[in-house]
Amino acid sequence: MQQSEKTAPRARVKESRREKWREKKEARRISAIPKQQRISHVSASDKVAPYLLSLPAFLIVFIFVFLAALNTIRLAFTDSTMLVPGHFIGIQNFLDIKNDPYFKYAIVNSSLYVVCVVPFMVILPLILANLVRGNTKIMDFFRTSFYMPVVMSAVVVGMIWTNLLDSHGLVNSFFLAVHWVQKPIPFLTDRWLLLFSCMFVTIWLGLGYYMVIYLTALANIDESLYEAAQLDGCNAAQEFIHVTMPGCRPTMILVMMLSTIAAFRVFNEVYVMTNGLGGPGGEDMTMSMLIQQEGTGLQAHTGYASALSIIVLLIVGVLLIIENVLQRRLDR
Amino acid sequence: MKQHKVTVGKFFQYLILVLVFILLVGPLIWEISLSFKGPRDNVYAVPPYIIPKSPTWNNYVKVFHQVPIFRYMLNTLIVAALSIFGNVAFSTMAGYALARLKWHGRKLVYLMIMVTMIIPVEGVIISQFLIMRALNLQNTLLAVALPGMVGAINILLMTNAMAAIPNELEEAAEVDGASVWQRFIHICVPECKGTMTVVGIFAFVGSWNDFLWPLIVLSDENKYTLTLGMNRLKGIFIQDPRLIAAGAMVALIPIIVFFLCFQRYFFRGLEQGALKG
Amino acid sequence: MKSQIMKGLGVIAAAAMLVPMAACGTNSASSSNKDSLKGTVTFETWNLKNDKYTPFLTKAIKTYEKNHPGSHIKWLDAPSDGYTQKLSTEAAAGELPDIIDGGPAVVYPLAKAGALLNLSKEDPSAKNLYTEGAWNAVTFHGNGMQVGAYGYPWYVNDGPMYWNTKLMKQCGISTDKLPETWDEYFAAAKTMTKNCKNVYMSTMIGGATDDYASAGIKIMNPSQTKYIFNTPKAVKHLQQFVDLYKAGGIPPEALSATWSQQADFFQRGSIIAMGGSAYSAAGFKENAPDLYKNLAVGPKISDEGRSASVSYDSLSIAKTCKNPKLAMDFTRFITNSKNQLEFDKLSSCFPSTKGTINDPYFKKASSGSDLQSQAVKITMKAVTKGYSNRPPMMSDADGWNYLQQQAALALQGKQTAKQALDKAVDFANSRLR
Repeated sequence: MQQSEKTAPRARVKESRREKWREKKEARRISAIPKQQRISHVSASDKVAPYLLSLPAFLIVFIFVFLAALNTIRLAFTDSTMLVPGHFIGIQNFLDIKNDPYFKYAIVNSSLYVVCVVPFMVILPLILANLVRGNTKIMDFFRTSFYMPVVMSAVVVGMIWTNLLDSHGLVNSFFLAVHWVQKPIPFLTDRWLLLFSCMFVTIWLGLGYYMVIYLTALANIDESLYEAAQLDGCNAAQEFIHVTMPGCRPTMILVMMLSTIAAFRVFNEVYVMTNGLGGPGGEDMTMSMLIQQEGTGLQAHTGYASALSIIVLLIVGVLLIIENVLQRRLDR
Repeated sequence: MKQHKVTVGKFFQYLILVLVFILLVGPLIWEISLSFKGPRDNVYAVPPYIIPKSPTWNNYVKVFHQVPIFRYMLNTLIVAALSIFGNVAFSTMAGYALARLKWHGRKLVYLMIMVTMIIPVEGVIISQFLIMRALNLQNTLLAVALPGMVGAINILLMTNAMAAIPNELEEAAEVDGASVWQRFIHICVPECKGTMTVVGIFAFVGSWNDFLWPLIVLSDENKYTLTLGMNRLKGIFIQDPRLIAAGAMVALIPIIVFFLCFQRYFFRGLEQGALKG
Repeated sequence: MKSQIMKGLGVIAAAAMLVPMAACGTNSASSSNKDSLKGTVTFETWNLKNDKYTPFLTKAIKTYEKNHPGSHIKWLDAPSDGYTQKLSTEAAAGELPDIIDGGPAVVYPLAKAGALLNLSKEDPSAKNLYTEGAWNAVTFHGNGMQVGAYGYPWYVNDGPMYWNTKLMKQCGISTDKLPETWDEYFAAAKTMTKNCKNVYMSTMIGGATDDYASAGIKIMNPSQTKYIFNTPKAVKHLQQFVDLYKAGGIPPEALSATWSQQADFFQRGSIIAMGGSAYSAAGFKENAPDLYKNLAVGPKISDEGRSASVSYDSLSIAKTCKNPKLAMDFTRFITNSKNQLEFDKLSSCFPSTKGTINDPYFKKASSGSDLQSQAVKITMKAVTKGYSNRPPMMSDADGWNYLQQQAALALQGKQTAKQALDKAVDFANSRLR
């Protein structure tokens, strides 16, 4: 809070924000808390409060996700299939991964996904949220519309985009009609273009989702900050950089984390855009698709799929740690 | 001069909004059009067209005839209500404890929640089923809702929102002798209403669209949720894309209504703050 | 405190890890008196609860219950998607429904895991009721399995090849005699690539076992212990697809297309031919009326004079079933000649019981001059003479996807046809166990 400010508007902005809170605090303090209860000391109930508060969430997460996942760890060291329990085989599954022809594709594609998609997911929805703030009917309409892709089923999304992007689709028909290209662009059949097409769909889907998260963060930025910025003659872009982005910083970090996890584990978009095959030759397979291919069905190789799951877990964990470290570096 | 600047800005703002609208909603309009196309419409016409040549309600009539929509919708609403309650209440509570209180084991719990978020779910569904069976809950709507009743992402969202509340607010109350519970309910919860709404919407959409888990845990058709019921529209031998589109539209309407009703709350905090200034 | 947590964790985890694939005793040895036909069994079909089939199935169940007082059949129906995932979870938890609907790809893994009754042992006389082809499709051996049939055959299906005659004429292919063998098919394709641009032959790329079996190439050795579809003949066959792709006769999208996408392509008029089912005709009529007017049907491409792509559905009995006698008796009933005939009339499928196909209904359904009747006629011939080429142990993860992907790479020129097939065979063999 006490860092020196680089720019004048920011300093003023901070000061005015602080004033706001003081007023607010005053109002709350008087109205919200019943008088007779204001005297008590740090009580026993305060000590157990954090445990009671987090207990329901802890129990549900622990029992239904954490415990269930322990089974995955056990399976990873066996040659189990879906219906046959199998034996302990040490780290053989992990050794097999090295020779898996798909793994090479999957790890490259999933990593590329993170690199290419995350920056867009952090910035674009924030800009969009900035454009649809305000409680007018027209903004209600835009906000609701922009959220629509999020609630559409993956199958429908896949159907729509494959139809739009294939060689006879609307996009190629248009490009051909205006003579931008001589022959159809292979959006769905070229290894790299297909991956980029999938990324596009991911961003298309994610815009509304992260926009909603950003909207709440924007609500916490004081209107007077924008006024102050305008008085200092900031234009829209400067306002965005000096007021909006600092005000949403924690949320941007959160979105970065969430979209990193989602991007590395991308499944639906690639699955529906490639009919579950991972593109020609399986070259567009992602880690989650590989896990799904190996780990579902009546003859699933659950042991091997579990080993792959653990690899994914470790990689995403490392990615998050790296992001955390980088972010702390930037803070200093 | 200021007036002029605002108009140009507004123009670009709306231009961008309309473009994004076309990009994001265009495909949905195609689905709507498809759901109204009659038997004489060529669904596969090249180039495709939006306005149906023989518009009909028939696809919707068929959907309502083939799927007991209202029963399934009721089931889904029960699941969604449980999920919304769980996610909003429990992640707000946990978010407060994690962001604003100091206690033993806080870091451990936080770490566990982070790990949960990155666990690939593909592998855990059978274990979840076995746990449900051990609890004797399989084939109940509660079992459908339970694993999703607190999402790790939602806990993080709430933790983030709770952390954003300025310390001064709570310190003042603490000086006045307010207990943790009072601070939680009277100071922090009102500050986080926006994020709580978002969590509610995410929970609603999540439980509304979930397919695989209800499929596995439910065996009695009277307890089916809407997505399971709508899947029936996919014939085993013949598929009619119009029927599937109509079903998708019916399932979408409650989400749109829900979103429209609650999205204004994203801005609750802002309004209150702005009004006082 | 910590150690206590760890301990508790261990206990719950251990409970969760138990995979109770329990083999409940079935008491199959007990005598088959009428009393054993009492009690309840669950009967799970796959996506059959709708306007079309519900009346038939409820009526059949009621009839059965009336004739067998004290019996109760609980009919469940699983939705279209996620069926194998539902089954596999239920099987892993030892909670399969008593009577299970599914083709060999479902029956084989369940049987192999010991979750199904061996009907050759439990109900040996059933064999005489069904056609040989249908019975063979549910009979498994090898890979450590007890030889036997693990399901009562139910409906049978296959289909014709649909041809877009308008496109054929446009591209100079004669419509008098539709291509029936692979030589004729590739010859027609050559003509097409010469005369037409942006029109494709079909989405077949040599990526499915059907494409090879129908050219007379064996997929597995007779003892079903090894895949052998990488013979020089197979390589030559795949090479023809490669050449056709290079000549622009196969749409690039076909490299990762599924059946439903193939139908999209066909109905849009981008491809000339498509393998479908007898009932596809009704779908074309409704979804693509313009195309429907220009359709012709012929048999699926084959050098053997018989179809290699017959699909069989069957009903299996779970080992966990508490009333196996009742379950078997009811399944015999629902798959008997009379009930199959009625079901086939509704679904345009074909019967697996001996002699049922000679019913006047099929004669009548196949004698018309409209597309549907012709399709039924061709399919009828296919199911009576044909067989299923797809080994039940070859699942998506166990080679099926891999074959299509390797073929796709060969078509793109990223590897030779021989490399593609060698790799596909190696991969599939490594997954056999």
